[in-house]
Amino acid sequence: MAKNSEIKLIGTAASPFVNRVQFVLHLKSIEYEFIDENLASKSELLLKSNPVYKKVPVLIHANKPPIPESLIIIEYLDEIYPDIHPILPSDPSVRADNRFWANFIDTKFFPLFEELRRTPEKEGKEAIKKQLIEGSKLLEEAFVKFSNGKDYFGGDDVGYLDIVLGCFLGWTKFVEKHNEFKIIDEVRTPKLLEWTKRIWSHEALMDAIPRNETLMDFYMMLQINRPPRKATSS
Amino acid sequence: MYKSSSPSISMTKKCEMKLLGITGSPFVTRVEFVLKLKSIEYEYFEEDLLNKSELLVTSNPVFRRVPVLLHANKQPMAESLPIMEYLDELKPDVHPLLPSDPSDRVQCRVLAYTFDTLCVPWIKEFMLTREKERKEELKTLLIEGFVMLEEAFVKLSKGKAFFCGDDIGYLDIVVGSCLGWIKLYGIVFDFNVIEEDRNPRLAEWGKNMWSHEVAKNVIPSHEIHMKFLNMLLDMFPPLPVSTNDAITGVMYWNLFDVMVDVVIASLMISGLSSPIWRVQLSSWMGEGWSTLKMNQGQFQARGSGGGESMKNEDVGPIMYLMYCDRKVR
Repeated sequence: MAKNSEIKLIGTAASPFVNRVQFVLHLKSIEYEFIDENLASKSELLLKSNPVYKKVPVLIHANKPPIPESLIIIEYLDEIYPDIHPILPSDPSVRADNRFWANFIDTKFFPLFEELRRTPEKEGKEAIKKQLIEGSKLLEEAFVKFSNGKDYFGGDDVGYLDIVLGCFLGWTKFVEKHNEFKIIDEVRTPKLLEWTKRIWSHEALMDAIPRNETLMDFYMMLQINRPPRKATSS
Repeated sequence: MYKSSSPSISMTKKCEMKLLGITGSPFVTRVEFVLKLKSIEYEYFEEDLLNKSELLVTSNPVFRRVPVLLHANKQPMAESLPIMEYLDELKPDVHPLLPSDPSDRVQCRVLAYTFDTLCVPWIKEFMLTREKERKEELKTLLIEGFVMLEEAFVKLSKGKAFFCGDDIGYLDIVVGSCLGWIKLYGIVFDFNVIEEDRNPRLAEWGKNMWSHEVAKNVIPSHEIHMKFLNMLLDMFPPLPVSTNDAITGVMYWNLFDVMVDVVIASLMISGLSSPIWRVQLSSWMGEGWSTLKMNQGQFQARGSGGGESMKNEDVGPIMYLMYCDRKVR
């Protein structure tokens, strides 16, 4: 049991990026203090710890400089606790491939969720839904490759991409329900769908991902603070 | 034309390591830098941006961009930072790139990420944008960014010549790959991103980089970047409307500004007194780029940007009410 009350995590329950870090801390049995942040009114601590981006999550380990960015935090935790549930695989080329897909998810796939929320017109929304579906097909291929017949991206047990993508599932379900379409379904992405059911019931993930009400609250906060763009004619 | 990377390539067996790249791309430079520092032989393939090879498209179907590293029969690798880490893990004993302490390593990664998501897009946009105002804004942003980088350098280097020590490492490569562009801006635009007054340590570091045995042969010269820039300017010539208005003498830099002035003039002639007009940066009303389109006497705002920043000053709503209510009715 890695006891370390020196670890603090600044975050908000509704953020999938924060959830990722919580997932890893849980898997590695690392104790930590969670500092809940109100994103509509950011704390002095957050602004000081992440002056460049002012975003969560931020990990503070003892008196070392704060660490922002979920993917960077995950790699750090993996380096300081390498023996307890290693997250990244050991083969360097597989590691590179994992990092590539995490970058894809964060820069190409997930931003579409926010884009969908902010686009007012039906046409625009349909175009983004299409992109999300295309993205999910790529992720299906990636899953087949990485899992190689096993249960997770990481093989027999949860690994890097299971965490990186798995933490978006709360929002995925929310967006699917809200927009009445399926991003992951049994026809286009069968393996991925099976994976979602498996990981959704994983003990460490259930601990990390918030319930629907929290997501709804966050969604409403976004609607107010960063409302959808104005629609064009009719 | 880019010369072959490995002089002995004809003598050795077929190269296991292949790099797909474009001359002048800082991301490709980074990978070559690492390959040379670690004495890894490789075969280089120059890509044509307008006519991408089958190999590139199949190796990196998601992004279709360089650099791509192909190593024997392993999965093709894309994205400069993961490739750098891969090579570092492949040959950890030859010229290690990252420091050994996890806390120092993580700060290197944070700074590389910040540089790539902020400074690099600004550097790129500065080269491509024709808009004078935007160029000025980017200058300010780049100056601020590099002041921050100077502070980071002071903290991380602990008095040494390079970012993390006595010799070139991860961050020197990440930032150093842009030195050719930085030099170009100094010569062509008279804009020094790194300046001795503002960034004394970085200025010294820059000199050390240019005189480093490996670096000076890897970092593309500003002449190479100049060729690339000229190619882009030829591909995208400036619009014919960037001329002075014959009557007012006002110089227009883009068609949008012309349209806005036409609209304003028309409304004022029609009797609209003291309208509150404001154009944010180079966009109409909001954070993104938008155009105004006159449509049967009504104004519609299109595109991104919903006037959030204007609304905070109570300007946005006023404009909307004035000009959209005909349509609303």
